[in-house]
Amino acid sequence: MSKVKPKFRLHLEMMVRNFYLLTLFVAIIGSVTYFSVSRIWDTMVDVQQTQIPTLLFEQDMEHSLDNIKSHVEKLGDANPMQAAMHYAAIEKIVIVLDKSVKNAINISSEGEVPPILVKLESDGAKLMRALATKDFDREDVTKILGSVRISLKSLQTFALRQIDTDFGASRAASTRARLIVIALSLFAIIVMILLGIILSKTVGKPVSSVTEKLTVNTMDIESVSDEINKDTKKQAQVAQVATKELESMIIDTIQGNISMSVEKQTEIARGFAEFLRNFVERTSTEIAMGMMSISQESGDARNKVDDLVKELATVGKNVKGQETAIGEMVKALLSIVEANREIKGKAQSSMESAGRATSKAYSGQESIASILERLLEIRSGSEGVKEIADSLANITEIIKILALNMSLKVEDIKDDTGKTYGFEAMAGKVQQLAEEVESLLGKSTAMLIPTIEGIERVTDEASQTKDLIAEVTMAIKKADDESKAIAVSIEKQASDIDKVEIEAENLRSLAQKTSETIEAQEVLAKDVDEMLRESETLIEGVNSQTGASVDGARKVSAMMEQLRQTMVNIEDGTGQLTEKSAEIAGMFNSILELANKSKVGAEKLNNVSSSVRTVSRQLTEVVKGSAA
Amino acid sequence: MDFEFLKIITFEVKGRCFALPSNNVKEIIDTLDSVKDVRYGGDILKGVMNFDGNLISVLDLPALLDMHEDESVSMIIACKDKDMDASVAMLISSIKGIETIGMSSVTPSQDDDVEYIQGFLREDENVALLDLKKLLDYAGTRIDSVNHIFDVSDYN
Repeated sequence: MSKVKPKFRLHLEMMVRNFYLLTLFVAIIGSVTYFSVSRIWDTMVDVQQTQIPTLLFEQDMEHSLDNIKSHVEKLGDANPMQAAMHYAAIEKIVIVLDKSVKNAINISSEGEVPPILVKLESDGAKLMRALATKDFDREDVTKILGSVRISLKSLQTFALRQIDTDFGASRAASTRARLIVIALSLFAIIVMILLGIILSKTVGKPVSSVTEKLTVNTMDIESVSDEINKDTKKQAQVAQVATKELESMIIDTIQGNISMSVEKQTEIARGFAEFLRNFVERTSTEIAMGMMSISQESGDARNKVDDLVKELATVGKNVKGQETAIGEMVKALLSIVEANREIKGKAQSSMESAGRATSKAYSGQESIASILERLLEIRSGSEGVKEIADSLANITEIIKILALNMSLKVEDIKDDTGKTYGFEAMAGKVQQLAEEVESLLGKSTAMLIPTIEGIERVTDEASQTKDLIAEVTMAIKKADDESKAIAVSIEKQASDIDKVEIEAENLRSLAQKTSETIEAQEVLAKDVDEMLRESETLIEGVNSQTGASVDGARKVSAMMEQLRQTMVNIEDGTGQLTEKSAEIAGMFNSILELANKSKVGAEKLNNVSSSVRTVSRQLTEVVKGSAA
Repeated sequence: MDFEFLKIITFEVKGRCFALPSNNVKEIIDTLDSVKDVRYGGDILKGVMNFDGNLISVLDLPALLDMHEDESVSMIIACKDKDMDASVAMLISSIKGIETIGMSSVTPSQDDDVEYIQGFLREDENVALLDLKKLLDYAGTRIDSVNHIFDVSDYN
């Protein structure tokens, strides 16, 4: 196959780059268009955000100036009230004007403030200063209004010029962009056409001649690969047949004469050894298993007997413990019976004491009742004494008043006649007597009142004591009844305890008998244990004898093993022979595999050559436009 | 009061102690049974009674002195003013006694509105020595102010 020149590959790459060039041209055109449009848009935005609002503010300011002028003109003919209204209106308009000026300045404050706006601001400030006071000069104000109006006109002109400038720049930018796009597009088209013409002339012929050669070469490859396939197939078939024949020959030789006889001997010896071993093992195993089971069972029985002995010992201990406990219980019951008897005696004596106390309480209650009656009599008598004392007090009071009246009468008589006729002395004595009676009465009252109060207290306490004695009597009677009931219950308990004592005695004798029985069982269990130990000894002797028979059988088994080993060696020899033949067969198999691999490689080569042919055919079609 | 010593009767009216010169007191009566009620007498004129054959007025001294405590009155002191020749009885609670005092122990009253009290005997007990004449004038004024509708001259 001839070498392909690098130029051929370079031209193909150029074709690929052609598409990249086209993409690049498109990108450049798009960028130019973008920047142009962007420039135009910025210009429009500037007009919208700066110039147009400036014009609007300028209009507002003109309107404000017109309003101020009309109000100033009207001030000349206005009365004070109207003048005030005009001044108020002017003030408001001034505020609006100031706001408009500031807004106009703010709009253009991103860059440098234009001089026209600076002049407008100063004129506006001058106007506001002039209008600040109410007694302003109208001519001055009119002049200032005129200068402000001129500034506004200049601002308007400035804004319009700015708009015109911006639109002009946009127009130029769009024209420029248009020209660039058209030029680039024409250039791209011309370049594409030229490249196509050049490539079709300089690339087409070499490609078609090369593809023709490629097609011829692939046909040669196909023929060669077919021949290789055929040869390899033949090799594989030959090797396969040879290996089969050799293998069958070796196998027949080995299996036919040697292995059969050896196998037979081996089988015979094996069978005998197996039989002998099985027989010995079976018999010894059966004997050993039997002995083991007997030993196990005797062990279990001995363990159970030991457990039984232990349980019996424990039961014996428990029974003895119970017997002791029962004995103590009987003693406790006897002591309870004794205590009950004592309680019964004490209950009897308490009953008698309660009866005596009840009778005494009743007699005490009667004596208290009689005492209370006497005290009540004394109380009523003391109340009579109190009444007498009160009467004496009244009498004393009357005597006192009588003495006083006598003194007053004596005074009257003395006043009337100048003499008292002894009545004064008599009145004095009566007065003295009344005072003595009063003092005596006071003393007796002082003595009587505590006595009467003491009698009242004693009477109350006696009454309470009577009630208390009645309650005590009732309590004693109740206690008497309860003590009788306790005595009856104690009697009943004593009879129950007697019965319990009898039962306890029976239980103790039963426990004693149980202990004796348990002791006998323990002796019996010990005998059984001894017998089991002797049986274990016998079993061990039998085990040792069976062990000797097992050894003899093992020796026979070893001899048989040796015989089998010789047979195995013979087998190994024949086996090796078989292995060798197998190895030879394997070699042939490997030859066969290699032949198959070469066959596969030839098939692959065939596939590759067919694919190359297909590619070259397609390439020729691409270059020439027809099948190669 | 020109006397150096003065005999007085002391009595209680609803817890307060008063005194009258003994020459103004005629009798002490320890019951109200002899008092006959008088209709339209008001609070001050309790009634009338027969004293030594004369019909005398019985005045409610607690009401006259504007004492409204709940203590009861159960005695009558019959008085006479010799200058006026007028007798009157007054209701009191109790009699304390008769005693002779020196005029120097009497403290004159400072209250000009209460003319019927001459003075006070003992500072701790505050016993008021009454002037019977002025007391009767005061009683008359009080009674007239209550009973003026019964003045017959009005109907002339």
